[in-house]
Amino acid sequence: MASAVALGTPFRLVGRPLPRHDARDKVAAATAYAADWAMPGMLHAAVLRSPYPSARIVKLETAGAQRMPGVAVVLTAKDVPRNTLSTDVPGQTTAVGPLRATLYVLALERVRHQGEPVALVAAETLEQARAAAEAIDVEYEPVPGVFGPEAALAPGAPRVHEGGNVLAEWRIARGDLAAAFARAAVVVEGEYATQLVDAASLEPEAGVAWIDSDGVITIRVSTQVIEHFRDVAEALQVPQNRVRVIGTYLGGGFGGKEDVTVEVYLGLLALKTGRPVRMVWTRQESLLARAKRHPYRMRYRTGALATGEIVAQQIELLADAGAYAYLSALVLLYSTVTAAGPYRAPAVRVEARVAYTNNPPTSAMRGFGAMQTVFAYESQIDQIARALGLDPVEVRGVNALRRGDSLPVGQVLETHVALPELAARAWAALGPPTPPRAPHVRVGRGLACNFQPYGRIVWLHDWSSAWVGFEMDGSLVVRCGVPDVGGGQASSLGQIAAEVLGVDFDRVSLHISDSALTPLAGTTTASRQLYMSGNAVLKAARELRAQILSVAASLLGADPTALDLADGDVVTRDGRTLPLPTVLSQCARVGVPRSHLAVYHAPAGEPVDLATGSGKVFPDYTFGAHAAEVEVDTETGAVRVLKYAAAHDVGRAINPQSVEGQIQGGAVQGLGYGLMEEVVVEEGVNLTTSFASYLVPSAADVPDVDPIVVESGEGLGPFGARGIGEPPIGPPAAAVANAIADATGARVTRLPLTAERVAAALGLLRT
Amino acid sequence: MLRLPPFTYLAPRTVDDAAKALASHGGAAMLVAGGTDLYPNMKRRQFEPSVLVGLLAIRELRGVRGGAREGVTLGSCTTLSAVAVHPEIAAHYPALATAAGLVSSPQLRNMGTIGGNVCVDTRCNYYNQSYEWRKAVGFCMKRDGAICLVAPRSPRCWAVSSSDTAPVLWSLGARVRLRSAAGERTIPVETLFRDDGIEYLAKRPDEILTDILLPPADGWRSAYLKLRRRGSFDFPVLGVAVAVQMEGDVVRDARIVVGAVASQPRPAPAAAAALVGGRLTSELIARVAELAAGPAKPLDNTDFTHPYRKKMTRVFVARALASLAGLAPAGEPAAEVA
Repeated sequence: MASAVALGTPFRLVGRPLPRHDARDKVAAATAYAADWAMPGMLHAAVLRSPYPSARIVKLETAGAQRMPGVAVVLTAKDVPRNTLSTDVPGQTTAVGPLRATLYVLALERVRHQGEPVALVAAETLEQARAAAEAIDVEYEPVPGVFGPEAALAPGAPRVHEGGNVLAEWRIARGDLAAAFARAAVVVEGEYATQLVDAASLEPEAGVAWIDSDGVITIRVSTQVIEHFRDVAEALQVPQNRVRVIGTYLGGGFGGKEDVTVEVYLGLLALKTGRPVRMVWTRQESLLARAKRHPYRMRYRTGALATGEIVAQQIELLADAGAYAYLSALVLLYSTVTAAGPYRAPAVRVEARVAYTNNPPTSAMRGFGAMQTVFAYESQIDQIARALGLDPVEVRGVNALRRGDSLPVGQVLETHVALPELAARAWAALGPPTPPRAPHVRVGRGLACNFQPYGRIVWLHDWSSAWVGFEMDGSLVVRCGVPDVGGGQASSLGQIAAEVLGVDFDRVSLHISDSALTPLAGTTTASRQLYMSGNAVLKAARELRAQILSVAASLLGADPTALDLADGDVVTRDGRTLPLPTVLSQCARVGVPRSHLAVYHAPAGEPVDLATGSGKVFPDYTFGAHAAEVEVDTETGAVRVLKYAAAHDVGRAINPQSVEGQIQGGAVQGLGYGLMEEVVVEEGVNLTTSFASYLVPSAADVPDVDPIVVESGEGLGPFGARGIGEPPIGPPAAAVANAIADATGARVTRLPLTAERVAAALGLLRT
Repeated sequence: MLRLPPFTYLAPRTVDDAAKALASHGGAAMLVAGGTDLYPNMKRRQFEPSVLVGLLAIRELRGVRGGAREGVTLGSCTTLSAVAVHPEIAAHYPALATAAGLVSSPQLRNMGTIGGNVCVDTRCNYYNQSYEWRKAVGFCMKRDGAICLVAPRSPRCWAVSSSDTAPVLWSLGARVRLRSAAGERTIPVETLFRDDGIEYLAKRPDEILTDILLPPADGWRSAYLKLRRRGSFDFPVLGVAVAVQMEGDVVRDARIVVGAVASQPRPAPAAAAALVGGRLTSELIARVAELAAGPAKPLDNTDFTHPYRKKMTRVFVARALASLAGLAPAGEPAAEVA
């Protein structure tokens, strides 16, 4: 088997399921999340939002609200020094020209979606702030809007923005499609629809801003991207070095905190009032207005030979961007590159479009466009297997990409692809079949594979930096600007540094996520932090190790290569030890630094022309295979997942506990997407603005998820690790849909797979 | 988070004191027991009472008295958790234990009371929203507005009765005791409900629901099945309560009541009558289930569409009867959750 790449266990700490350094405080409710922060003299902020999905603001009068008790300031678009934010690509990488998109800090004359921010209030109490926001005198004149991407692209549709409703288009054209379909023994056609969903992190958007004693605008905020300090500076028209973002531990992000949320508002209010200000979005406004996952319409036509070998894929994708661009163009790019799945296909056409509408805006969410397509391509390959009488594991093995293959976009895969092994192991993990518990119940099984890029698009020239240093007593400090969203991002870095430098994990102090005091590490998005910052920390730790050992070697009169760092000492092969503090003192004496700052640059490349398939788009991919056993009630359509196994080649599990947590969490979030979650929007009006109507799975709704961690050792991250943050959310919806088809013969092509949709597919709703 | 509007909380120790407090504050006061429904509604400003008369400190409202032979009396402030696990109720009025155990989540059942669940506010997609949302979309007649957003030309409100226990109590032939400063009355539970989304209770505002009286079990068997999207939290979007009184293997009497399809629980008397005198065979059950689906008239103002909920009424009635007939494994109630 492929994973027989011999890894051995040459590590002290890497590969051990160490409890995270931040776990205890979280369990004990001692972690100070963004909304927990309070300061003397702090004001409380509220946002006034548009009730209409599409309207002109004909009157906006704040004088009355300004005079209300406790009100410090009321701000509208005209009070924002620079009211446009450019969301090219957040963070530290270079601009990407054509993908540059604009949104407004506060609505100016026009609102384009329900919940769009119109005005800000800061007051002595939250109640006063809310009362004042409500008292702002706004008059809207509703104007016709468009509420679906098809409608948006129809001739004569109202324009959401000047320049038309097409936000972005991508195309791939590889091979001779007509000839390939002519060779096919079977052609499967399908139309799939995925729904609008919310990141639904338990912690809402929140933060506190203040002006520090040096005049720096300081914002302590729940964010995946501390580099938004630059966006704040731009909006406030102050130098970038006068804004500092301190990132907190997150109560969940999932992409929902990748774009700017409260930061600019807080910076503005602190600047205008000179006082600390806190803003916490309510669950209702978060569900109403925060950017969500794109709904897709996907049309697939897949041709395969009698062997099951796929020869042709013709794919059309249409996504709903909502009212503002955010990261839609990039999300669509991910969909386009992954649309044909982790399979060989000599002839591929992809035509992908994303359109503006007056629906809630959509942007990043875990999986980032590489997720919606899984539902379609895995439903397709399952139908090919059924049509040809092939086993689901076998058909995927026949088609799986291998090292050296090129994707339809032209990128050659340079690392091991464990797909056949992953599929076989996930499938086998379901064990003996569960007998149906009643005559009206059928049990079936489904498999779904996926691949997800980790790391940024190569022409964004991604980098991360980290500082690792010893204190005089031999304790270790790691400084890295990584936001920890709850996936164990920070702890894994500590584990890597401790591994290389031979100290116990509890001798490491981690300082993270501060744009002024920690080296910038880029965003905690794109499954990139372990890969990028892990490599930066590894590089810094290895350099530091070399520095320390060279000094120790001169003290011991030994060859540095014969020395090791272990248990807080320098040790020689012949068993002599030198206490680390002794070596560290010597470092100071001879002028060798006890710290190192390293920058890791990802492999870079030039923009590729997707249509002609000219080359590399992403650094690498993480592959996965999930298997589900479900029971379907053939009288009600109700689906219950009985067993679930999720296998991923993670390259190397730095901390298996965190890796398994990511796999289980991703699978459960993916099951919520597959089975029940849906933001219901009628004519731009969001009907699901509380957790009583936006339904996320409860403990009663999810099975145990059996995580299968495969370590090929072939990732681009530290010690061969691959990214695992996003990949596990991809396959669940398709795995369940395939299991429903296996159980009943009914294929549901629209998410979520509710009892009612399954009942309809079973023909139960015909009267 | 949404905040509660300010109010005064009174904690009387006796029903008499509570009734007096309620009378003296007139329309400004509301009753609250566990508060699991009222407080969230207050946060969304569906109610803004200046005074709440809390019932939890009144000892006489708590607990279960009597037995299956002579009938059981439940104090209205008995928690749903206590009802769900009470041995006498579980053994002789199993549908009630099931329904109480399926309300919301364990935490809410530990606070929520049986009286509160019987009187729980009606629900609608357009009503159970924050104040800002309702203001934005346009207020509906149930609160602050003049029209029904589900059926704009309707003169009435179509908000849905969302109690799990109400249809069960109706099917069991329960009565409720209401007390006020002016006196006391005991009425059949079915007369407590009105077919109106706003005025859904026939209880006067000054009356306190103090007790729920179950008749002697007397050969009655019962079952309750609930439809919702998840295995926890959600209100029913369909609740089917069936009760049959057996004499040997022949049905002597029967009641079928369907919840969450109208502004009050809906009885299915024709379906129930078709059971009487018959044996609970698969054929009879199928016929009765068909009849029972008739009175269900759901609108599209909850989760799932009305054709589906109506279709499921037939399935659920059949399953509930089959479980009473021993034709199908009763199974865990949760297993029936859609």
